[in-house]
Amino acid sequence: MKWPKNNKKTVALILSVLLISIILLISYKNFGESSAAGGFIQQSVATVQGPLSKVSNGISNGLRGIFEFRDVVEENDKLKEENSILRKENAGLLLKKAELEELKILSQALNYDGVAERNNIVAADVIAMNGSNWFNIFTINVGTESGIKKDDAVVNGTGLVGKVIDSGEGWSKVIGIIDESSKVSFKVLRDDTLIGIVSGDGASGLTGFMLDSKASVIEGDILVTTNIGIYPQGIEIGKITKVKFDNDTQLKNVTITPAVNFKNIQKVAVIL
Amino acid sequence: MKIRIAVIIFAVAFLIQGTLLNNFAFFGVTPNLTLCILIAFTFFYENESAIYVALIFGIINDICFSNIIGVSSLGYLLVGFLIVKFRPVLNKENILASIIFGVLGTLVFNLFYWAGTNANTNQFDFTYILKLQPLYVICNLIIMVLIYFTLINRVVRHRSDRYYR
Repeated sequence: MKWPKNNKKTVALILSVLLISIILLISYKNFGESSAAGGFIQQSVATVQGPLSKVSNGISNGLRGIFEFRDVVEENDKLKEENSILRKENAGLLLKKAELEELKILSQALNYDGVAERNNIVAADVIAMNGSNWFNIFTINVGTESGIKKDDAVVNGTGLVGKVIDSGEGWSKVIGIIDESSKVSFKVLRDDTLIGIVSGDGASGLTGFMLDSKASVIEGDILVTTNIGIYPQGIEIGKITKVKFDNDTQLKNVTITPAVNFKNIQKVAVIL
Repeated sequence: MKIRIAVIIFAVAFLIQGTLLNNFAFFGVTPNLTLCILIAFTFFYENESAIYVALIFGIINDICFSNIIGVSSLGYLLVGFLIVKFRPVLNKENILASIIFGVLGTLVFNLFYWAGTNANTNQFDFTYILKLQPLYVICNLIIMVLIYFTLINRVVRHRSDRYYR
C-alpha cells in the first residue's frame, strides 16, 4: 500500500473526480431538486449576497446617473407621462374594485368560491444572478418566511419573469421563462381564443406554437398567460416577432420577444 | 499560493460574480472570475491548491445557479489538469502564455459545460453556445490580462533579467 502514500496528489485527484461524478449522477437523477445541504449553502450564500447586491446596485445606479444622464431624464419624462395615464386608469379601476367587492360579498353569501382571491403579492430584490448565458436562474431575498413556495409565479413591472423552483428562509431560487425547461401556456391578448404553448429557445429568447394550426396570429401580437398551469392569467409574456407554419409538424410556430429584460432584473414580485 | 488565501480570493470572486459583475455585462456576458483565477493561479504558482478550491466553488456555483450540480467542478478540474500538464512548456513571464491559457481554458470549460448539461436534457442549442464563445473569450481575456499585470511581479522576481537566478 505504498502507492497511495507516494502519490497523494493523484489519489486526491481520483477521489475528487469520483466524488463529483457521484454528485453529478445524483443531480442528473433528481434534476432541479435540491437537498438540505444545498438549501443550507444557498441560505448562507444569500445572507452575504443580499447586502453586497444592494451595494452593487447602488454603484451601478450611481454610475448610470453620471454616464447616462440624458437617458435618465428622458426616462423620467416618459415615466411621468405614463404615471398620469395610469392614475386616470386607476380611478376607473377603483370603481370596478368596489363592484368586485360587492360581488365577493355576494359570492360568500351564496357559498360560491369561483372568484376567490388567490393572489397575494410579495415584493423582492434580486440578490444574485449568474451572468453567464447558461441557466436563467437567480436568487431573490425572500423565501419561506413570506410564504413563498415552489411553483409560485414571479413577475416584474413589465411582465412574466418565471417561477420559484426552490425556497428557504430568506431566499428563493427563480427560473426565468426563457429557460428551455420552462413551459407556459399563453393566449393572444387581441383574441383570447387563440392559445398556445411557449418555452425558452435555448438562446435567451422564447419560441412556441399555437394549439390550432389555423390560428390567425400575426407579428406584433401580445401574448399573456392563461389560467392553465401555475401562472395566473393576464400576465404579459411578450410580443410575437415571427410566425411560421412548420410543414413537418403541421404546427404554427411563433417566435417571441420576452416582455422582461432578463439581463437587468433588480426587483420582482412573487404571486403566492 | 496558500490554500487559505486561495479560498478567500475565490470566495470574493464568487460573490462579485453573482452581484456586482452583472451590472457590467458585455453583450449580456460577464467573465467567469473563478475560471480566470483558477487558470492564473495554477499557471503562476505551480501548485494545485487553486484547483481544489475552484472545485468547491464550482459546486457552490452550481447549487446557486444551475439545475445540475457538479458540471462546473469537473470543468474546473479538467482545465486545471490541462494547465498542470502544459505549464512546463510555456513561459509564465510572457503575456502570450496567459492569453493562450485564457482562450483554451475558456473554450475547454464552456464546451465541457455544454456537454455536461446537455447529457441529461437537450437544453442548449450548440450553435448558440458557439456564437457566444468570442464574447466569453474576450471577457475572460480582459480579466486574465489584469491578473497577469497584478501577479507577474510577485511571481517572477526581477523580470526579464536573464542573469538573475
